[in-house]
Amino acid sequence: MNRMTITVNKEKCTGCRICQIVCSIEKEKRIIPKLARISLISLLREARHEPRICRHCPDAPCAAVCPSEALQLGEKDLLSFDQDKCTQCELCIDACRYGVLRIDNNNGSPLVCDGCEGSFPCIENCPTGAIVIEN
Amino acid sequence: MANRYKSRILHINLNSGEANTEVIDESTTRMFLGGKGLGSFILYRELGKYGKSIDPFNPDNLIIISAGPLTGNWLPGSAKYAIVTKSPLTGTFLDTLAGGFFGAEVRLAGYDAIAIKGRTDRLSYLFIDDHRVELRNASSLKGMFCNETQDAIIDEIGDPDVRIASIGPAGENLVKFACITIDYNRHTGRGGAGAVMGSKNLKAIAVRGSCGIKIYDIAAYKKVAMEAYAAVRSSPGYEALCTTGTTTGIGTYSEVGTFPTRNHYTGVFEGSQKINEGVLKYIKTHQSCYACNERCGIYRVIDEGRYISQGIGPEYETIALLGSNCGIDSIEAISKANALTSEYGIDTISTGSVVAFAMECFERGIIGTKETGGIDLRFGNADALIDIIHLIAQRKGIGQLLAEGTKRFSEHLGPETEPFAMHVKGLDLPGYEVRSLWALALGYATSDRGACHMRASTADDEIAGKWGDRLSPETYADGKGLVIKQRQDEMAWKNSICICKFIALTSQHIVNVLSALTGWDFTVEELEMVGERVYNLTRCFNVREGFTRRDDTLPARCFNEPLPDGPPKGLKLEHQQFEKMLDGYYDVRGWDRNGVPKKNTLERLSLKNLLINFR
Repeated sequence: MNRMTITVNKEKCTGCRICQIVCSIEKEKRIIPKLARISLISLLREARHEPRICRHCPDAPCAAVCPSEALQLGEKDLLSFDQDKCTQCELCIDACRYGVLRIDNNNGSPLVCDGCEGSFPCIENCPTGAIVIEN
Repeated sequence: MANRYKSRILHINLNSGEANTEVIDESTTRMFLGGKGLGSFILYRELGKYGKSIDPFNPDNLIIISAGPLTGNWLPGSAKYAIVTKSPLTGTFLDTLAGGFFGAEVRLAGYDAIAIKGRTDRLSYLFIDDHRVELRNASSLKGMFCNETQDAIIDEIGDPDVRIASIGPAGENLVKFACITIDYNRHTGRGGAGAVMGSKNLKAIAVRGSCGIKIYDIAAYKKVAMEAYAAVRSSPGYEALCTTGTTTGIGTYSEVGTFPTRNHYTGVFEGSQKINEGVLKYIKTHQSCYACNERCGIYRVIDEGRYISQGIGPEYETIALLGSNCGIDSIEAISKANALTSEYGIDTISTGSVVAFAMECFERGIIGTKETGGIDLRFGNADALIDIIHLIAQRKGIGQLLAEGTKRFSEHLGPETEPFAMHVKGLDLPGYEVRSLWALALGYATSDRGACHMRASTADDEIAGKWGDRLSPETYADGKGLVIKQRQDEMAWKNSICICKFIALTSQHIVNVLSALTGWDFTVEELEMVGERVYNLTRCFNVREGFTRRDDTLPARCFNEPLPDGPPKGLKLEHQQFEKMLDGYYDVRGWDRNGVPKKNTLERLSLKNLLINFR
């Protein structure tokens, strides 16, 4: 079975933040783009935008460095995160090769994308194809 | 499920630095919703406390940033918010709306509106970080362009995602049509809100929010939101807006004779085809507003030649006013002028109008090179336009007079210039020549902030013949009062709930979204009632400020000079027909023949108790 591939076409991103909005509704049950598991580097002055989304890498370097097994690559090739096991060491932040992981300032733990069981509403709702998934 | 929605207003007094939060009860929140409605409710109440009309530059005037229940949500077109104040250009109520990201951030910080009064001793900026409100020294930002200002504040705060509304040099210099530039490329353009900020010594407002926006019924909301995106995506105008933004169809307006040209002398511009081709050039990318799939922000880069510029725009209105209305057909020059007005922070519509007025005065010999400082201010001279923009924003030379706006500049020059001073109540006519668009003419005349195409958008429907043959003046006036009332009320509720006018959603759809978000059992009828209520409230504000039927009119050119060419050649507004339309409009509104809302109208709209000091 082929593994999913997530790609980012930043030239297509118009900076609307729909990906972050739907992520926050899914994960936080309210609209709060800052706590989205997908981040956006946005330069409004130059109209340049770059979404940063978790690729659920097969070798999962973030999970590899996690000392407490809070971060793991699960059965569906998706990352999973156990808040109770997290020691807030922040090693995962530096390990991410796409610069995706951020700390939630409210609890000191990383904001981890679990792919919403593979449904990826962030990708599903992107209006321009700036983020795409291929299975 | 969360608690039901109530408006939260952050009040800030710049005199003392004090800040406190007011929560509006649920039934009043439902009556005004937000945006224009909530802003007009606050402005009417607060300025009523003084028992007399106050000067717009009096520290007691307010700058109200007013978002709505839809602002910041997962919905196309939900980036909108209003800035409400008493206008220094017109002396009327003023609401001016923009998109971008700032309004969403205000709501993410936990507020629906921020009402700012008073004045600081030195140039300052506000940093609103959720519940923390800080007044910071902005001395180092004095004289800075809007973009530089926003860069400097982002550097100082150390967060690229802080959202900023700022004024440029024009606002600091109290140019009467200074705008507020937001998120670098968006503007609350009309009526001089930027000058009111300048009068308060307030250079910028920076907002950062981490409270989030609550949703009453998430399951219901997800369903209606996804339907909304699908509806917008399949709407007829979607592809065009995503490709050429608001500049779609420029050539058409000239063909049908409604493209304002050389200070509204005609509606036909010989350079329109050149502009039409020009707008397709230099497009680098598209930028959305918050949560919108209809990416109508066209980012252009012109990096060679005589006129180098970059940024979003120029939009349709800008092209009509800085372009054809000044006799200019170069998209490069118009883009340069657009970028300059954005940097200085001035409204492109009023800038184009006052420059066109000055150009006509120059060509008629009323002013000469002595007054212009050597500038050859003829129609079509793009370099002159750009030179004059610098002078206006800096209030230098003849710019000192133009910075007062068309009405005051004309009064300064003398009554012979009044017939071609193209404004209503001091606000300049936008990008549609109305001698063959009589419904829109009535809309301009009765708009609550002066001549405005956004308070009753009828141009495209009139051109399409929706309400009869616009070229048959004998019959065309009939029924236009009702048309304009309905359109004004529709825009009033859209500007209160805060949804962009370019979003093709039905009223029922919007009501479904609102109900899922707030927990209210809202109806389309209630929504329309909000629009009518808000329009009556802003009318009451203007009546209290002394405006009467005499002010609900148009420049003499529209009545006295038949259009010289194009399909509507020979058409002009007829006094008798216009007064008939105005009577009809007042009648359907429930206003007396002097344009004052009747007692039973205010009762029907549940406004009577709120307006204790009205008449």
